[in-house]
Amino acid sequence: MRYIDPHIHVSSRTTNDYQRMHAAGIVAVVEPAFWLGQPRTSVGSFQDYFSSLIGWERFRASQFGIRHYCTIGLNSKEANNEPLAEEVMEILPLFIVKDGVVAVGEIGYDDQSESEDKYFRLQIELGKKFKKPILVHTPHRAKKEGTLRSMDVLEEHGVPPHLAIIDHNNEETVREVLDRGYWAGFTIYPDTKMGKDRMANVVQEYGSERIIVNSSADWGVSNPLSVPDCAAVMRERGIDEADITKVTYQNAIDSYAASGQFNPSDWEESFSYDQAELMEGNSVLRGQVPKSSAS
Amino acid sequence: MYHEAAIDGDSQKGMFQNSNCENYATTYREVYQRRLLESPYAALGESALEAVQNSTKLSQLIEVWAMIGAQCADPPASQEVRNGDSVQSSLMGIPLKDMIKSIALEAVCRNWAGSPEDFTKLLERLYQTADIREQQLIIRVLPLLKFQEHFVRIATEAARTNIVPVFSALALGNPFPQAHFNENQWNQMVLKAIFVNCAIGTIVGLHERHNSSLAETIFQYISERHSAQRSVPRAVVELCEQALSAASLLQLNAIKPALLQE
Ligand SMILES: [Zn+2]
Repeated sequence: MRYIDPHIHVSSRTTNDYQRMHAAGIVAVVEPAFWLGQPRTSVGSFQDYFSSLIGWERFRASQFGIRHYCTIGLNSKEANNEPLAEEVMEILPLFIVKDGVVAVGEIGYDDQSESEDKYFRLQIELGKKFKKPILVHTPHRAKKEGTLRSMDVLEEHGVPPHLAIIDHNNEETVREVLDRGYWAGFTIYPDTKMGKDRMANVVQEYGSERIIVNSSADWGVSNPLSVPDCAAVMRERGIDEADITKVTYQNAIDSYAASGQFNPSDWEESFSYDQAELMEGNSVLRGQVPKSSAS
Repeated sequence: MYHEAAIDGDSQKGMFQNSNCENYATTYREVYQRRLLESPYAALGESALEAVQNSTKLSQLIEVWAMIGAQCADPPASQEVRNGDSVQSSLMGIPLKDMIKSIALEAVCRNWAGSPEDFTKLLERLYQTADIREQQLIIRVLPLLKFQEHFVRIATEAARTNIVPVFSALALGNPFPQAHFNENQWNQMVLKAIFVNCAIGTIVGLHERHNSSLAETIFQYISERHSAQRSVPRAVVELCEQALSAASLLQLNAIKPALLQE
């Protein structure tokens, strides 16, 4: 089985995680730009972070046979520092246009402050300008209200629902998100978000249309194997293999496809080419030969 | 025979600039033209050059790059175009999309009316915000650029990076380091190439810029590998032997029979 983890902060994970992810069948990941657990204090920190998402992390993943993509955006928490947010807005276009950037995100609300609202809207407009989908982070507190408000704002700005992924859903939000035509992301995150069994219930109840499973694994207590683990639970529960493929692989591709940057051929054909290119002429680090992408 | 050239490494830098970088630039442009013409992207190449004609800002260049990125699908070159000498075939390794971007960058540089310092600022910012493939193409096109002596700082960044493809873009098949690196920068680059197991035979100027200080450091490396019962590429041992002091050469010869070579 092949899996995609369409929301994981792999910069915070170890090479050991990458090896386990590859072994579990994960072929591609999307790393949304987010905060680092504490607020950044200068625009240079943002620049270096964005640049690591299209540079070092992309290379690091490739060494383990995993294709790395990212989304670029100013997260809601740090949108509350307005002077800094203004500077970040200026550098976002330099990164949004890069190859391998599949969306503007993750953006949205945290406290649902005025400032968060302002930069959410400005970044929705950036997504429209550069023809990228929008990845929406929904708040932990006042989740239902924040989720509905996010969709209202997207509609106000004329974003068609198939170009937006509403993430971190739960049983309380899924109905409305699907009814309004959006992609619905679910984060399997121990304790705070969804569990694997609850996820299987959701798929049994709502089917596989526009539902996407991710790990959102980061520097917190989280599991980079959430997607394949969740697939295993769904299999045990007798959920149809075609549905499992949709929620753990195909829907991720379809939701980010509008960016023109997320094509299965990247990891099916040209990935082995890149690996060969990497080895050709310089061969890779001695003693750290990456796993072949063929297996 | 290389010992003499090795005595004063620094004085060697610069004298290769006109010949090697110019030859490389000529080949680069030829390969680009041939690949472009046989691809379906000749018009894209034209319009990219037109679009950057009056570009003096980073944002303008990045927009043109985004346009190229969105429209070019990297067709492989034909066998006919592939046949060529080693520099030519190494230039074949650059995706066509990236070659078009690099030629657009070269055009901005050629038309630059401001100071070299201001262009350097633009190029450094471009490099800092570039993705892996873009960093590679910036490094590969350095020998074609006007004011290239100002870009040593970018090249030393590439010499230090852990992203192997970017490092290789500088160290292998690229005449820029030979022309512009001082002895210390040169030695660090060659050592790193050895450490990450590059095919050092493709370093441009490997023998011309070789020097006794580098030979001694490589000897320490061989010695460490030997103690750890690890192998060393034959080419590295051969390079080390050139310009090695008599005392170290004696020691090298002593361990050589038991040394694992690949
Ligand atoms: Zn996240």
